[in-house]
Amino acid sequence: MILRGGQLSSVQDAGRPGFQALGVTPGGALDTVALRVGNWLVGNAEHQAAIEITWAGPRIGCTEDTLIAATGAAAELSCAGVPVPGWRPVWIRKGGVLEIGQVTEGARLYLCVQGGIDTPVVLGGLGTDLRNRFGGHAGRALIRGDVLALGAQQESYPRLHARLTDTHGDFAAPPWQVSMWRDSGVPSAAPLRLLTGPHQSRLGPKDQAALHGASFRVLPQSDRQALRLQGPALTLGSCRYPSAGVCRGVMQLPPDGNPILLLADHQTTGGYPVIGVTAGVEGTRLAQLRPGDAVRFVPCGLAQAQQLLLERERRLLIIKHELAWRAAQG
Amino acid sequence: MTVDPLGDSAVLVEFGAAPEAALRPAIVGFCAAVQARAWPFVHDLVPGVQSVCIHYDPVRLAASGWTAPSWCAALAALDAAPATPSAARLHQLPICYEAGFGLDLERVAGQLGLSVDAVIERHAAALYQVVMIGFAPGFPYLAGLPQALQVPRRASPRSAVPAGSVAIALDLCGIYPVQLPGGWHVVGRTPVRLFDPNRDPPSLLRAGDQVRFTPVDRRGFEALCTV
Repeated sequence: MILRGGQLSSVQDAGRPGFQALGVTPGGALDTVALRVGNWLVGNAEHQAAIEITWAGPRIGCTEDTLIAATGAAAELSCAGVPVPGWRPVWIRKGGVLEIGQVTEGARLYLCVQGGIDTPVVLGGLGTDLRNRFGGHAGRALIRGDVLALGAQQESYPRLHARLTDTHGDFAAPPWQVSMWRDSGVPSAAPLRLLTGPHQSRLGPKDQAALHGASFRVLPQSDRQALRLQGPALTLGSCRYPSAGVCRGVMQLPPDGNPILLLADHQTTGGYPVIGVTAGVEGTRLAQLRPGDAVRFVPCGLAQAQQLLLERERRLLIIKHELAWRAAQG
Repeated sequence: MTVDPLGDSAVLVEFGAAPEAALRPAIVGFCAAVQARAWPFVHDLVPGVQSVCIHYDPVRLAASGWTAPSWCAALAALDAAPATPSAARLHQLPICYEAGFGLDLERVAGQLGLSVDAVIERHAAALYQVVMIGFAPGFPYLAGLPQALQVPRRASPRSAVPAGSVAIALDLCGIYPVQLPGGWHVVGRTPVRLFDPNRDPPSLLRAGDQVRFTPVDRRGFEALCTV
């Protein structure tokens, strides 16, 4: 039960790929790693739907005993005035109220619940297409009074569950945690890896150097569709580019010279020249950027980008197994 | 045809700047050939004006024993027969050109030096082909706009173009499936609902389809309205 919607909270899952040829954005959680780890923490399948919370959080009342996990951005999270730790399973008693205040580090927090948020499947996805107003909960951001249904709760971790429920408090959490964001091995100030885009070579030598050296600022117009960046104005010679498919991470250069970096809710096709594409592993960092943040870019090859994805997948698998083991121990 | 990576999880296949009519069969045929392979790591195949964008999962690509360069080479070597448009996919879309629907008809006619009736006649006489769906769910880019009707985009875009609006700009015609901002000139409106996320398939049109507009009057529009 949503008691306060927060700045922008919406139901998101792994998105709805497969319909881009019909103009349907793939969408889904911006920070896919946080969504997957959060779901593992509560014993869900990795892509079940959760609440994506942006900037300032909602207040959520639990209408039944449940296991939750908060992952992604760091935020002031509490229950009955007591801070609730993130990146671990937390058992909440029926009637408990989760208060999620300001996000203190990063931009987007994921609240995963045992059983997952149960919304109707629309075009293969449970998440909200906010721009086109379908999917998720009533095709819109969450507001006060919304009641979210939960999927069937499996008893995945009976020992952990037994230990956590043996409490008089409103909630209980184990002493251990996983911190994927901090453990990802990339300090947040490191430049973002950028692969060559189809039109990068049309930038003059000075602009090419600026693209890979200068600092760009994230503008407040940024949203789930794209990060709007401002840095040294880049110019491209006249370039008439017939609309073509685009993907997450594509960096477009409109005539005003301020790059647009596409995120999950990107339009399926675009007509602006593409000067670069961020590596897939950067997706989770892009999701956590906030207006005013400064970013830099560094060239990256395709083989290296895919190798990094495979390595991250291996690290995630280790975390998944470690989690299952800890939870089984109780 | 060139095959180039677009980041680490998509490939852009470009078919060169040949005339639209020559390009379409090659693009539709190429998409069919890729689909026939049923590669498990490919999840989206998006036709563009002169291109096809293939979205894939790089982790599954590696698990299938490919590297990006080896797979790109396989795509470039794909033996794809050009596909001819199928008459089965010809859509007759009703359109109302009357006042209140064809919001920019008079302005367009003035710019082109034609009468309003001449614009309507030419627009309704043409046979269009869906080049791609983009911009918004179910929004078709239609090739086949007669040369005599080609105008640049509006100087300032509208913040809200009504759902069903049929609009033209440059050498294309488009249809707004829902109310959206837009900079094309609205010449009429169709009462047919182009996109419904709860319908299967959700989009009435897909790339490669043909479209012909059938004029109806206001009463005909209202009788048919499903938007």
